[in-house]
Amino acid sequence: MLTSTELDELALKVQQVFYADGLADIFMGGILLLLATLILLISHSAFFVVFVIVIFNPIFYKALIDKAKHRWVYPRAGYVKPKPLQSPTRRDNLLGVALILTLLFGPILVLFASFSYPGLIIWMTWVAPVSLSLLISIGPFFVARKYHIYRYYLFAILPPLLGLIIPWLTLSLPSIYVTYFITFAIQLSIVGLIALLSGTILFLRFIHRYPTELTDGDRTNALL
Amino acid sequence: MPSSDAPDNSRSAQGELDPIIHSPARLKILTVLKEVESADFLFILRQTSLTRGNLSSHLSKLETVNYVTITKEFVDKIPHTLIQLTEAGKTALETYRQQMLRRLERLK
Repeated sequence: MLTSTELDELALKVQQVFYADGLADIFMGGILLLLATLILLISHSAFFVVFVIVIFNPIFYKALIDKAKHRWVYPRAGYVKPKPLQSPTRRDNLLGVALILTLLFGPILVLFASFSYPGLIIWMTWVAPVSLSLLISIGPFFVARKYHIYRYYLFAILPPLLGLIIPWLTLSLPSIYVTYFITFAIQLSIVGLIALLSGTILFLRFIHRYPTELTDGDRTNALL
Repeated sequence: MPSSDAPDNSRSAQGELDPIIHSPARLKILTVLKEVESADFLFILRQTSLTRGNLSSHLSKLETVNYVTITKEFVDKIPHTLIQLTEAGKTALETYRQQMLRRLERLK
């Protein structure tokens, strides 16, 4: 006899399917590395090219994931059309806007309140990297909380943690000079590389688990 | 399409469990379908770990009572047999859930 826990686990497993093949992690890692490159190229002539790629990334992202899923995932694990996301409530919208505004403008207000040369240094060293990292953490935190995918908590916690660790290392090792932009680029690169690595491992594991690509006949099955 | 095999609504109104849903295999299939817009045969097969023959026969039964619809379509020129939970299926599953919860409450 099925227990309600088994059914709950089955329902959760179905919700987690989108993230199980590792493709979402690979693309997230790719985006973060692209952003890091953009920051490092800020004074370089190639900046514009990377900037255009980053701006159009949300459009490419879905198309690329869809293409990859059709090529490698659906023939092995079956095709699934996920439920459309529920439109957020008014309260959710207000909370989201308040959070983003706080993270964006809060640090700027802190900067104006303490405007002086030492204040600016403290702000650029401690406040800005953490607040910017928290903006990156919103997405992974939402995925981890909603779908119980625990590795996404790491992607949510790591950026602000690195936002504290990197400036601390810079202060304790004065020979290493890390500017604010480089700090942010390092944060993005580390999280991006971890996402890329975990995504690749998951994807290889997925391919190993479902090695055979099925024929059209298999896909449509005997009954139907 | 609904047929003579469709479950008797008066029975569920009296609190009797729907025998179509009460089967563990069909309950698994409906639980998977509840979480998605639609899925193909292979996806349900992977998620439920049923055998092909078993899944086929349970899907036929669910289609007979109009709890699921089975349609063929092409996705990127590849034929897919898509299975979707109907409104009747959603309602029946919810009714079953409520009845089971009430029964379990009484056992406390």
